[in-house]
Amino acid sequence: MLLSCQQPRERVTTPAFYHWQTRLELSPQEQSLVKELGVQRLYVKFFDVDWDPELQAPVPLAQVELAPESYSGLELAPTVFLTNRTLERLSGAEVPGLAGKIHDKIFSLAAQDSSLHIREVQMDCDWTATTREAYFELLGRLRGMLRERGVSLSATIRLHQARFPARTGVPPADRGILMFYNIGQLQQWEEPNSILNLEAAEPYLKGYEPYPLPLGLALPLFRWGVLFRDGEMIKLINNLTEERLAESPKFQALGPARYEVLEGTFLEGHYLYPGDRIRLEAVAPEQLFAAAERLRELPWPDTLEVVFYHLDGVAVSQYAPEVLDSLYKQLARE
Amino acid sequence: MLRPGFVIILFAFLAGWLYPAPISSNCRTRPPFAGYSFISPLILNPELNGAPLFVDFEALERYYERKGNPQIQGNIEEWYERFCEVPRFQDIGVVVYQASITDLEQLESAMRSPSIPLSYYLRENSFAKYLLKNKCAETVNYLIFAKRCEPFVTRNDAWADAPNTARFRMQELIEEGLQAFRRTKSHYIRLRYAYQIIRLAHYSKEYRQVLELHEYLMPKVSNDPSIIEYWIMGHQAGALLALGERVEAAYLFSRIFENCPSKQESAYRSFSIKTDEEWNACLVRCENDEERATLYAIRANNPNSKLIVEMRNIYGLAPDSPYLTLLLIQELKRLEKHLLGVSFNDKRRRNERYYGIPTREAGQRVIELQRFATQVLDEGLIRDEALWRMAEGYLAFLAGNYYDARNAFQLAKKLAAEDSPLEEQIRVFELAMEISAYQSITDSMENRLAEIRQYNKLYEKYEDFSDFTDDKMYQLYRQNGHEGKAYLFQYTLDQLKPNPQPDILDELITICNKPNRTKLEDQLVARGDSTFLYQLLDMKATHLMNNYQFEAALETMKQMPRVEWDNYGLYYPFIDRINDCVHCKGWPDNISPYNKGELLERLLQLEYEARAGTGNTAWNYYQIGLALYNMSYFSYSWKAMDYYRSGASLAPANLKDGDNVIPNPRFPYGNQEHFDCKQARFYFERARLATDSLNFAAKATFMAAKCERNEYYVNRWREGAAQAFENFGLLVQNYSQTPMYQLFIEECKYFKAYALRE
Repeated sequence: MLLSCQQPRERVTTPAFYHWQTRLELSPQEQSLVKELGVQRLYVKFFDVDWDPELQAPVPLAQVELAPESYSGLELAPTVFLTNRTLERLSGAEVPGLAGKIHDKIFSLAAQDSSLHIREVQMDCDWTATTREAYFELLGRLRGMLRERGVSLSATIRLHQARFPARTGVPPADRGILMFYNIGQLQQWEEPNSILNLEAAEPYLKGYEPYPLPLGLALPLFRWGVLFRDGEMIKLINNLTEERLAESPKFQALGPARYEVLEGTFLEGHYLYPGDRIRLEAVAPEQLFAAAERLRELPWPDTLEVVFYHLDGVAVSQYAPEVLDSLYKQLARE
Repeated sequence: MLRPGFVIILFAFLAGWLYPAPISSNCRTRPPFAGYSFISPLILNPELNGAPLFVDFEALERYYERKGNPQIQGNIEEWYERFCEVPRFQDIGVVVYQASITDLEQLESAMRSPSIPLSYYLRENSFAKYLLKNKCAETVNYLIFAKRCEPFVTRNDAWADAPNTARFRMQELIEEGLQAFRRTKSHYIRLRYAYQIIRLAHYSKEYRQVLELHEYLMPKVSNDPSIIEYWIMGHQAGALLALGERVEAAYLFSRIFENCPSKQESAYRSFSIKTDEEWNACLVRCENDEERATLYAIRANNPNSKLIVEMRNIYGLAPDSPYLTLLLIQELKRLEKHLLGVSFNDKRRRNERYYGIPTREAGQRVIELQRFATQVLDEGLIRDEALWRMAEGYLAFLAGNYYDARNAFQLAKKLAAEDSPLEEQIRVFELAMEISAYQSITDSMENRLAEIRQYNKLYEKYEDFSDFTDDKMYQLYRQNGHEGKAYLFQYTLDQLKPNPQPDILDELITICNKPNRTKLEDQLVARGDSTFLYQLLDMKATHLMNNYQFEAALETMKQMPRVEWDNYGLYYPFIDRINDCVHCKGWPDNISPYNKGELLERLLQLEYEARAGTGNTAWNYYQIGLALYNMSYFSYSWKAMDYYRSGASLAPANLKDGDNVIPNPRFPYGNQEHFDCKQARFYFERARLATDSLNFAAKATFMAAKCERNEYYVNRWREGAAQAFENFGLLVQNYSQTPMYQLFIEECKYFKAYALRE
């Protein structure tokens, strides 16, 4: 009786964005979107770390260039994408050194903007059972260094990792961001939408228990075309739109969001052969609302950061500010 | 080192990283692809333009590793040529790449003053001495300048930040270089100055300056053809690309790709076409059909390109293009991966699951390539007819048309030079086809295959023959009901031990005992070697013991000489223990162990005496029960009836199919555990009923209780399973006054808990 008389607990949600390009220079439209949503934090990919086969060592790639005047007033959380193959090839003794290099590189890139005050750094890595040990060791080292500067460390968490923490391990970070996308079977032609497939996600959501780390939530705002050749998925073509294919006589619609190439042609820098097939994938607002409806039932922390992946022209053109506003607010109610 | 077009390459690489990987990829580690390949890299000339790029052969990669970095190699070769091949090749490398500025400045000083010696590092260097002797001041001054440029154009530490002053220093160097360029008389050295200057401008991201410098400097250089011109062209193309002049950039990169092996890979990576309009403009920009064919070759080099389409394009423009050969071999390799031996590849399902290979379209691709090969051969415009004939044969083989394949190989052999790599390649394909074509099992086939396995040099040289043959024969023998022979083509006898299969053992024992074995049978059963046969007999006896067929097991053991019995294990199964242990050691000295044959004899004797009532019946039954218990999974003599035991076998997940066979990737038939204690319990109960001694009855009852507990443990996963305490109940009710009872209370906590609960 007592329980039934309690008010439903309010959850506070805040919006944020990922920025995944090599130059952080927000367009006026992007600035406007950020402002209208009341976004205060941008997770900015500062660089990637990949293994250089020539040097036989990890190297930083695609280092960010900052244009501070375009994002003034926003807090930046440097994000570093680390490839699994780097961890696979790295010896245990090299892990502390890499942690130090990542740490130093973040702050040297941040020096491009003298007004920058970093409070959080995020690591993004799709670790596996074989790379977990090295990755967690690296996170632990990095976290120690950041703590001395009063900076916290967060890590991206894939859905299966969030669902089975005992099996996959919990990264030694201060918090995590659950990446709720890339859920379906990308490689299968029959897949309806690998970016956001609630049916495929359901087994992971059923019986979901609170994650050992405080979690934020990342939702997808991107689109791509998945290119199949001879029955095999061979490429992703980013930001590919339906109009681009529908308007060309070189493509024939096979069904909703599915096309076949009729005549050899270059598309966004990729040469396509007759017989190639493309599945277009994007996330409609109603799909995002359905996901939010399902996700809000999960045991989130009282303060939930909803991070949209990612801020670019597509996000601006495809998602109205009021849609994104309702979306993150929808997750506020428990 | 920051190469031209680096930024573009970077974007190309990063395209796949912009989005994190799908969740479905997280937990899986793909097993390696398992197929066969018989195409030899030797049929390609490794110096053929693009060979290492187009055809992914490890041998070609190794060839280039031996040759070293192509840019360094090309550079040293050119210096070597320019200096009339007088200095040693390696010494040029030392001066150009390893000497310090100080070494070079000392060399320059030595030219001016004979009293100044060469630095210690260069004292014995033939190139340095040549430069000194001939007073090649312009060369040395250039080398010093190049060394000063080096920190700004090479990548020493990818993590280090470029100094803030880098841009300024690079412009200073450009200015110094321009002055030196103007002073220099040698046009070859001028060309090298031009390269350094233009490269500095490119790495400063001053793209317009690159083009201006190019326009200013290059007309002032008149020299013999040099690779440096293509290096300069690379920077010019990179600048054009950065400035949006994409078609001209792509065209220049294609020229570099065509003409400059040391920059071929970077040119390929930098070549970028985004639209049909750009592609068509680039085709128009080309000066002839050979240049256009190169554009198609670059497009074909994409890992997922449709090679037949591109081959047709190239053939239409330049039928004798060397790219055709490269693409033909590349497509043959791709099709071989899909189709060779696919009907008998034992990893086919795994390949399908993890790699989607073979695809449904592979057969269609073979037909298309066959059509194209026929056209090419009919028209007679290509260079390598023998190679195309060979390809025709291999395609027919992959399509399963052995008759056409044989004919094509015959024609190809007539065209190929004797003892050439191509001739060897044809013979390799013929051998693979011969093995693949076996349909029935005959003595002559077996003798022929044995000879191939033993003596054929190609079989030995091409390592995939072994796996190819094993898979083929495994399938062929199984289809014909020869489980034993089939087994030995895939596995070892040791892999059979955890769960011996009687059909396999019987067939192999029969072969061992066969008077006129074929040569292949000889190879399989080690010529009927007695050790091999005895191992089979021991396995069969063990299998029979597992099924309590002791007479049959003894008869099997008797097929080997009695003196051999000790070689197959010694056991102590008649020692009493209250608490179970599996790995006990330290047996009393006064107890002799039994080998398997003796143990069988002893068990049969005990049974006979018990039934005949000629001895102590209760004791005899107890001894049999004790041996059976100790030979089970739960006790220390388990090795008498099994070869492999795992503690994990008792996990409920492993028990649930009820067959006591636990799958194990190492063992094709899994691991069968001897969990059964029913037979032992039966004998303990008979011992209890047959004895007059309460104390002995207590002992037999206690052992029966252990059997009862084990039975429950093995069946605990069944619905409604409940542990019975029938024998513990008997112990408490009937034997609580016996000394044995007291001993059990003291030694066995499990029983004590039960008794106290009562």
